[in-house]
Amino acid sequence: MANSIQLTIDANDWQRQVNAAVKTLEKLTYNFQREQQDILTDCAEPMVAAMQNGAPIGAKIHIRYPKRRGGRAKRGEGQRVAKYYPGNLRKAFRVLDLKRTQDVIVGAKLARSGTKGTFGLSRFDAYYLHWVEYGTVNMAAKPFVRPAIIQASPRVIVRMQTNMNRFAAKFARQNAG
Amino acid sequence: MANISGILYTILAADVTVQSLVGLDAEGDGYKIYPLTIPQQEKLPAVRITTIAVEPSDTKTGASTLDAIRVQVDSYAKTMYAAQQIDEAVRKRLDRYRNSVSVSGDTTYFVDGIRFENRNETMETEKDIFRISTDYQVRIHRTP
Repeated sequence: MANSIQLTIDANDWQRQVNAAVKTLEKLTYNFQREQQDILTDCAEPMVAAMQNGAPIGAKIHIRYPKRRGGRAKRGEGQRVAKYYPGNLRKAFRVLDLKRTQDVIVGAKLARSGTKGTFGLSRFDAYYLHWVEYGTVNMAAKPFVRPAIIQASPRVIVRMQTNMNRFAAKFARQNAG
Repeated sequence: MANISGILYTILAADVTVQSLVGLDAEGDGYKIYPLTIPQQEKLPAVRITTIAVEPSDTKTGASTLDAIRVQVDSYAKTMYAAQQIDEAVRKRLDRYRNSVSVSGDTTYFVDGIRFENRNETMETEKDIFRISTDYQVRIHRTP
């Protein structure tokens, strides 16, 4: 098999051979840890695509106003904090760049709390995702994240198998003989 | 297509605990268990049923005869305790349910099994309403 390493132990020289085998396995773990995130990021691509395809797109530009403090401003007189172009939710989905974890997490990008400006063109802020996914007391849910997980999981698993086979073959090639 | 909200309504409305916790709607002819949205004039507590996804189990020779439908059941109430009580009563009734269900004005479906999957609790701060959302997987035979 292309992606396997054969370890043979000769009774005469067993100590050296066991050490070499352990070293090879340590190297395998080290190499995998180094490439883990790249492999998983590649595997997550069908998931990201499924979430992006399922995300509903609005028909008009939405405006966010500041939190209400003592009453609501009259129609048209509110202070505009942020503008959301249609497609903001869809484009917000990606493999999130989270520094504190080795895991690869797929989700919607959020702007920092209180961020102002325009979203949906080059910056994205999907703070309202949970309302769309789960609905509110006044609004029906439009679930698309959970269906995307169900729909894309088989493709993620296939991709994972392919990538792991490729990684194992590469390691076997580098450590042959 | 299976009338999933009708099936769940029939199962839940037959349970005395759910009946007493949720109560009758404004017109008094049904319990406050709704598909998709809760009418704005209705007072809480109430239960809402939303279909999330349908997973067919196709065969080599034909269309799926058994669908696994993922459903979200929301329990809304003015207090967290009340929402928890409703959610627990709903779970007791639905989890591991397996039987035929005759939906009023529709047909009889065979529910192959209902399985609890996930739960999350939220508060809708705008209106001070508590909600517990629970996901179930409902397996239904398409040919009763």
